[in-house]
Amino acid sequence: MPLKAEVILSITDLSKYPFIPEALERVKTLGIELTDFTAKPLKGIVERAATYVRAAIDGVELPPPSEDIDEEVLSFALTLLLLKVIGDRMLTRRFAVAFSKRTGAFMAGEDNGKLVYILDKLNLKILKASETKYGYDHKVNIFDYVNNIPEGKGSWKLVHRLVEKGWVYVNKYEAARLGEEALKEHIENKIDEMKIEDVQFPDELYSLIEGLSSEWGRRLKSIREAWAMTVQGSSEEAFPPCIATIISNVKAGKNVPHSARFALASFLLSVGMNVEDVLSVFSSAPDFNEKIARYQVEHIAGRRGSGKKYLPYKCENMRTLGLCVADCKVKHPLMYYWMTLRRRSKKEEK
Amino acid sequence: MMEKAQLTLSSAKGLFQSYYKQLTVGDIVVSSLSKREFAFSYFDEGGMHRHISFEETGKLLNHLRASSPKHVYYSTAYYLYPSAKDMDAKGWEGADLVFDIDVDHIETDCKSAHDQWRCKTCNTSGWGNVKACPHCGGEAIEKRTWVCETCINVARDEVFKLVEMLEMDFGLSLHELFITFSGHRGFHIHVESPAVRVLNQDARRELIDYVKGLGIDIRVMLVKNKGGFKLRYGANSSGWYARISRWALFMLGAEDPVLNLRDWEKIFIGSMKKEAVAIDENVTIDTKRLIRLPNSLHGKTGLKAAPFTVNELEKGEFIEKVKVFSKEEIKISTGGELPKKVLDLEISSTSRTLPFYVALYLMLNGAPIKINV
Repeated sequence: MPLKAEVILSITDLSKYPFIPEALERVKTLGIELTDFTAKPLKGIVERAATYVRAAIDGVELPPPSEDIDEEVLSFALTLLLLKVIGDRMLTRRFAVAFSKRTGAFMAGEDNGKLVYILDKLNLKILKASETKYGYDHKVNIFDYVNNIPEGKGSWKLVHRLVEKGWVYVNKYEAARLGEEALKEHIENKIDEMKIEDVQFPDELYSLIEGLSSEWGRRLKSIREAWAMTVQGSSEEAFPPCIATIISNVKAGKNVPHSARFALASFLLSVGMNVEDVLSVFSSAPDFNEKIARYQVEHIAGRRGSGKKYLPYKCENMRTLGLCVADCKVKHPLMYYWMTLRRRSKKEEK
Repeated sequence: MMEKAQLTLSSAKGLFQSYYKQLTVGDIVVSSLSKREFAFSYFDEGGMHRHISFEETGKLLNHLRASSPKHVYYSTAYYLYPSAKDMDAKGWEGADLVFDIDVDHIETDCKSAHDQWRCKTCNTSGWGNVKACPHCGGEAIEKRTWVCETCINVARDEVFKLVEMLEMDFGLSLHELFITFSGHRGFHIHVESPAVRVLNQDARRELIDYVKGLGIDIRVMLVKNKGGFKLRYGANSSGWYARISRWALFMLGAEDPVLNLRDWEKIFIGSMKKEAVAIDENVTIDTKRLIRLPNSLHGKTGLKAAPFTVNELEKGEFIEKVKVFSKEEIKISTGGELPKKVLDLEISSTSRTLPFYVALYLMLNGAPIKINV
């Protein structure tokens, strides 16, 4: 059966875009089993997949794709499987980011027809505009646009775009950038949806997975230590203006909205306060109910429910919720806190 | 002579029961009902009963008839396991895009006729809307708010602006928009199209900012031109550029003018004041929100969260559609001042009778009133 993708993509294009269903279909027909990866001819695939995972561990760029299409597509599929077995969301995210970045550069270089075809495969609805408008030759579905917007400010911000009847006008480079974001999510979803319960791993693959897993563990430990260094005990003077405002409102006995309470509790917990400390901050609220407050704070701290620890809202969301009170030039309230602390400790060193 | 019976909060349950008894399956307009979480609060017990689900509309209806709840909510989200107690175990599959327009968030002239405040610090009280106590400056303020036809008209105008934006900019068609009265001081606009269900919180925030005109940056939208500035995309453009250009045309008679930054700022602010929609961002950004069930009764008003078409809103048939209980004049006695204007009625301090639905609203929402039945 001829590849439908070949109509638009040449066969060599598939190595640049191994996530395209046609590429994956193609390797399926080869009938390769996991045990085959341990045999010599396919070792290159395993090595390449391991290289991809290591690049994600080290946070470096991925090497260019293999010129052998089948090798590239199989390595991509195997990389996803390895990440699934390692099972760490942060590592998966790092791979998704690195891979999307590599792909984004290819996409930006494609002609319009190819680009539209690839984005369509990522479920990003995009059309070639019937007439170029202010230099924009494509339009993206508005909901796909906001779901894949790289950043909610500057020229990307929806209020600043040409928006018309459900479409947002973009140029080719912007379309490729939106594709990058869509690809990140596509990869994460693919890994999420994989079922590995029935997969039998040959020993050699299994020891590779163990090795990568412990490499990531070491790397993660050093990342966390670096973070912890900057945050030793919480320091109220370094709180960003938004959090300081909420605290003073709570202390003044004002009624603060639920969103502000969530922002405050998640912030305080993130900078190392324990549940009791946080409750004592809230105790001056006019409608303070210890039982309810404790339940909610414990939930935010990850001590209830799924054990998921909540982070405070990022600045964009704080602004939308009407909780932002200053222009701090940071993206996240915690970033303000850490940067202030770091600046201060540098000063003290001097 | 028989002693006069008084309507109490607990006997109000009987009134709600009579309403739910005549409700039919066709009145329950919730899509994918079995995937939604339901929540109830009742007249005879406190708290909210959450994490409840129903396999089919008939079962929900039976529950409404049997328990006559004070408030009924359902989730804007679709879940795999809607009755799971733990939010993360529910298996979130998507959520409707919902906009809430509430006159609580909009300044209106009528508030001084019906809204009351009390300072928790010095116990001073008064009419209208204050942020801080004019007597002691305290900001711990307790409020009791009411709705009148003026409020509803203000909220309705916001709905029209939103609908225009959803159609013209977001490309949604009227039949994709489901508008209901919120039961008290505004409207909910639900969008259930598959394309919006998968929107993440960041995406919803971006849409909120668009609707409210938040984050509009004059420096991004203008370009230098002949010693001044003009819109990056001027006349014949779309989105906010077209709105701003329209306002420039209205104010200056030129739709694509070259102006200095200060003059542009005035145009931007004017346009935003006129065209931005006062939605409550907390509702739209929340992908796990509980929202009032359409056609259910609001426990603090006795009014029905009735669905409206844009056409019906334009015709202004409001009270008739949301009023469930009778217009019959009944005797009341008061233990304090009543708001001067609620729903479609002006209340004088000497009133000794009121239409039943108005008296019920006053009682349910905590006014110092006794209803003799």
